[in-house]
Amino acid sequence: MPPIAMHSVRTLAQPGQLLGAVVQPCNTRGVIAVTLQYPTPDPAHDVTVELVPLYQAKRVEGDTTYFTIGAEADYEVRLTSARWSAQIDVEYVAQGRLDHHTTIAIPLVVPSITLALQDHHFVPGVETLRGRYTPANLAPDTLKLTIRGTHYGGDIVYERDAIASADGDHPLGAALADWDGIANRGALDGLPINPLHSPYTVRVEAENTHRFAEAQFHVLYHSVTLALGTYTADGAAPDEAGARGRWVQYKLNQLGYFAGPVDGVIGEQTRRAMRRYAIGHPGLSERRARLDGAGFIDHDPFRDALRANQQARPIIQHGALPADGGAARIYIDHNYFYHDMPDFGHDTGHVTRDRAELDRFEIPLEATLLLMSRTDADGTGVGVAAPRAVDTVDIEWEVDEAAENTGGLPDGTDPNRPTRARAYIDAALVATRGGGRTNCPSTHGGARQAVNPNAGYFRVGDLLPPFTSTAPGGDVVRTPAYQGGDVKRGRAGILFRGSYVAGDNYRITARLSFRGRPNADALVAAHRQAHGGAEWANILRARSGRLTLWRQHRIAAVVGWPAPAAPIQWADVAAEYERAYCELDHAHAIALTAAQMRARHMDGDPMMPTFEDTVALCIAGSVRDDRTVGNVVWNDASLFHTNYGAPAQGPRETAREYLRRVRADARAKISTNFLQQFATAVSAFMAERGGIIIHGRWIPPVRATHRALWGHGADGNVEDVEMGLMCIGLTRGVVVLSHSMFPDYQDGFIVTHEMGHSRFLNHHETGSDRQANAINPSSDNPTHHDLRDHNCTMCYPHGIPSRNPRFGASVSWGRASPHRAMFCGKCILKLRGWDVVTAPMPAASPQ
Amino acid sequence: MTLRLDLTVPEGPFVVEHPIVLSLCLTNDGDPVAFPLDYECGGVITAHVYDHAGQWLGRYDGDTQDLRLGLEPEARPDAARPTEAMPSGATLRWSVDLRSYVALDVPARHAVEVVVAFAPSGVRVCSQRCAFEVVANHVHAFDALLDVVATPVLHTVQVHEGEQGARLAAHLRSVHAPEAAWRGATLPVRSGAQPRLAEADFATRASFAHDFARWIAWLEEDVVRLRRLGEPSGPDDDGWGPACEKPQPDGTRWLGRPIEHADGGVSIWLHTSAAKGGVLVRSRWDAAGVPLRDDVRVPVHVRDPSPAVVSSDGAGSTWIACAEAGALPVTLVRAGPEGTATSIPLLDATQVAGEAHAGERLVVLGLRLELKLHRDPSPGVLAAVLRHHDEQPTLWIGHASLEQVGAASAWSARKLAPAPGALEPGETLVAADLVALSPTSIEVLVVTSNGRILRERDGELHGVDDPRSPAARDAKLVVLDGRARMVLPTAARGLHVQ
Repeated sequence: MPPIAMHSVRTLAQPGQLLGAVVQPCNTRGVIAVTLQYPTPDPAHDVTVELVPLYQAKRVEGDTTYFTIGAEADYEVRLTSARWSAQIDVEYVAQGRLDHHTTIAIPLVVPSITLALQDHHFVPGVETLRGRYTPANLAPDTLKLTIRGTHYGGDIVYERDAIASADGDHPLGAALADWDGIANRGALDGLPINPLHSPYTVRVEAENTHRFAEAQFHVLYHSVTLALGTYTADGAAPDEAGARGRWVQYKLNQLGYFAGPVDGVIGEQTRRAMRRYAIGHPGLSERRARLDGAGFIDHDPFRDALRANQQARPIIQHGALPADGGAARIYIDHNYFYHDMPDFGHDTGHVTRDRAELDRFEIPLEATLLLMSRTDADGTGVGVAAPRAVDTVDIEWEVDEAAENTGGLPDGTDPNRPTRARAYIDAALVATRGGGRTNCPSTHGGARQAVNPNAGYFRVGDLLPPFTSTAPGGDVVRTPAYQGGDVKRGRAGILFRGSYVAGDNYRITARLSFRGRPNADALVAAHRQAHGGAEWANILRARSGRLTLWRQHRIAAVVGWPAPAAPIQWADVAAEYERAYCELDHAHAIALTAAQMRARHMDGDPMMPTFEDTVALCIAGSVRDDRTVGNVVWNDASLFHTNYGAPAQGPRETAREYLRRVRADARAKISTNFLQQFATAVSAFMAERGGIIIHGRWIPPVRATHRALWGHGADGNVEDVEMGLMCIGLTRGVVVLSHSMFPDYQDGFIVTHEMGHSRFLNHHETGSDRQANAINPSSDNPTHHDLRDHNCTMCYPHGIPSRNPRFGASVSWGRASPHRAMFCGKCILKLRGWDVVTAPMPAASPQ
Repeated sequence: MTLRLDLTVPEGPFVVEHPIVLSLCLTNDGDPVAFPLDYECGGVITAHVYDHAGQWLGRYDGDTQDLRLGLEPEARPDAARPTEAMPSGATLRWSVDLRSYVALDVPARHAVEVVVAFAPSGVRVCSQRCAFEVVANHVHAFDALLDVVATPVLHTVQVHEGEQGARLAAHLRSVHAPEAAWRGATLPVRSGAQPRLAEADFATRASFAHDFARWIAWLEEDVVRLRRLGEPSGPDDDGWGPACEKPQPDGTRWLGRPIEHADGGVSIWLHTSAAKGGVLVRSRWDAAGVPLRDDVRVPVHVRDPSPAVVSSDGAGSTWIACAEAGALPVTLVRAGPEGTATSIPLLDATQVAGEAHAGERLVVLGLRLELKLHRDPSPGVLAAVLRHHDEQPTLWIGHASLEQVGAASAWSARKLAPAPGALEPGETLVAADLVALSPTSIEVLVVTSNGRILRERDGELHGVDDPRSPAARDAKLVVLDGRARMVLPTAARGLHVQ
């Protein structure tokens, strides 16, 4: 487009010398000499001069064009050039008169527009684009500004006509009316432009001369932040009256009970959550929740409790996602125990119980996309929230399951703690890992899928309004940033579901993705450049700190029946469970005396029967195999006091034989079956749910007469002997610690051991099972224990023929001993929630 | 201090599960030394067992014994044990059953040595090492009974037949760890002996004496022999007490279990066929095995009482349930303590198969009397009847409350059939044992003609074990700690409680 297409020059004809040339006067003709004054000798002088109306002849000499005219008239000089322009605002009119000559000198100038953007990028909707354009010699022309986007339908996102064309600098802001990036053309009309169509090209163009100038700018994403989201689109609770189901789900989720998506469907997960809430709430009945099922949402006390936000439980340590590089515990409430002996006896009873009671750890996540400020040169500045300029860019979600670090477990080199736990767990993690992921696989009670493990951790679909997530194939899960409404605009959200297996760990990454966009490569390159050349993998992603799942165990009550001489050293017990990622909360346990326990009313309601009355009825109504328990008469000094009458010692019975028979007899009367009923009753009367420790003397002391071996010198033949009988971990978390056995052992062994039973742990080496000639140094339950670990807490210390001879049949875990029992690797994994019997779990730690 | 410990092991070999009685003699050749009165406790006596190559297998002590019985070991420190001074020159002789310490149920050659150690007085002495051999136990016949006089004890008796002839072994087993026994004792018997354990017809909490003594009867050719296993009085006493016997002439059949009485005596029931039906006669002996007069005779309409079960209700009455040569009806007889007796038909074909049972073959596979259930208000009868119709055998399992005997509503029943494929070609159901966990919860064990065991699972009978032993016909159900457990023969290791 030539800068001069036609230019009028008007001038008066004057007598006298032609400028720079000799014009011969002629009476009948006149001459108009047009001399072009080029500002520089070079480049080419290309201006073509014409005269209107007609002239007779034209001759060009150098920069002067001579027109011979044959009539008097006002002539108009017309210039045509590809490069030059005449001086603006000068009218070149030649008054052609015969016998006269006219000399016109036309100084030529260069028409131009320059455009300079001050900002490489800016944040539409928040900042304005800064720059200036400078037209020169275009004043008569009409200037127009357009902004085009890349891969934007119709290209133009913005245009503005008739911007100032006078020579000189014009701030772009003036031309754009301080344009803040709001489009006025195309799909984004009325909205801020966004990074997806970046880079954008600004063009200032003269309509007539077609002189133009262009410059590019970017709109760039700065960063992604990741935080906990909300369960509803607006973050507020649904209407309790109009959407009760959703309200219940919302409240349960808010209070930490993992009720699932707030969709109003009271399915299994929500019902489980209601039961868990009822279990955790002293004023609610788990039984009622179980029986009511979905109808529990209409249970007034339940809704009252929700409304009052009672029994809120933290699900993340410190209440927020940890920052990248940080760490936090995430919590599953795990006060669930075996219910009956088949439950306990099943190899995967704990897995089945977990499945029946628990739901996977689940939180809403929201990624917020920030844009890069015009003042941020390299991405190191602060991101700018411009939700309307984010557009529907995808966030891809990734879960990093780093290999578990077992370095915190003792390595067995301490002679007082010859554990194999670390070696076993290392071997188990190697055996079960998949693609470097060592979290518990779904084949073993966990949530890690063999195929597409990443996708398995997220809910896809529209379960977390207003977001819609997809798994378009493979292991990719993505959510486009939401662009509706205001509350969630510019964010992408998803429901993350971890497992309920303790020790599983996650780092969640929200990564901005241009995948599938035609200009993806250019976008990536632009963002990398804008971030100082950083690797793509390291920018535009937010990663949480490490989330490690812990199970919370709670001690609800400690009953002294009678009270022990010294309280339980809970720190020692808690330390053992810590190794299995189980937090033991013993600080809130209530302390009860025997009398208080006996008088306790169900649900704390004085109209309900007492514990004593109920258990007496339970025993009277229990079935045959308990044989002769009879009517229990209660006493604060021992659990089964006056109802137990020991047969007398026979003449042929040694004291040892007699006391053993008394122990066996008492054990038979206080049968496991009976004890399970007893424990169920104890649990039912303990509104504060969790483990319940009963320090109990089972029966009164028994008098035995020792024989005299040589008939003289016997050192006291008659003795009242305390019957230890047993410490036992029963159903529903009830543990009875024998009054006479408890003082003999370390709390870290005896309390930990019995509590382990309630949590499905089987005996390891106790010597009570049939042994294959003692040449099989295995275990009572060989599939449940590391067969090379002879220091397991679930062993008995004394006289264990099944124990490896090198370790010795007896160890001391007495209070004065420096030796310490520890859960073996399989026990630890089982406490964490792993199925430890299914291949490829190793049978034993490596040599 | 100079102590000597002599260990003597009888000449073997020892059959798996049979006692291995070690005789020990501790002699003090030095100064008096304090010695624990209960020297079997804790770690005072320790047996060290070695394999045939001298490889040490393990150490077994009083704690081991406790654990084998399912008892928590006593945690008392040695220093707190009562002691007596062992005079200079004194000896202490005792015997122990090594099998009460360790199972040793793999046939092999072993050696044992015993250490006596009592740290508070510096006692430590070791015996010489003695070798012995354990051989396989092929059970030919057995019986098992959970009985309670003062405390529940699982009694078993088995007959092993091997190169050394037939030998009967009785065990008093722990209900907490039934693979282990409080005590065991053996007797030589004739080949083919079929042992039965006596059931007590009384309960007492006076002492444990009756729990740890028991009459055992077995049939040798045409003679019923009885022997009482009691508590040994010393190291040389094997515990076997009085013996008695009862000829079983032609036409006479010994029914069910012996009944053991509170005075230490025992009685058995014999059936003599008559032209029409037969007569039940009770024969009785006192505690010394002296026969008493046959005191009860009950005419019945049964000529061939098989199967037949005899049980006591613990209140003085003996009950007998029997079928006519495996066919219905089942007849129930009650013999009261005062010598009175009643006999009533209890179960007929109509009750099992309805009116349209003509042509259907009904076989009584098992009967059980559940009477002495101390806390069960409703003693009853259990019956398993095999129905053959449409080529598909079906087991009819019924329970009748004794309080309603004779009433149409006495029986509550359900049906069971073998799961598809559970039976091998040509295999049939030949025997059944039943037990009531509660009046409404009946467990059943079925023995097949191939010596296999079927149990109920998901409403069908499935194979659960495969002893393939002729003794499988004696398989029993017992209730231990609320669970129905099977007492089964193994191929070579005696009995197994599963």
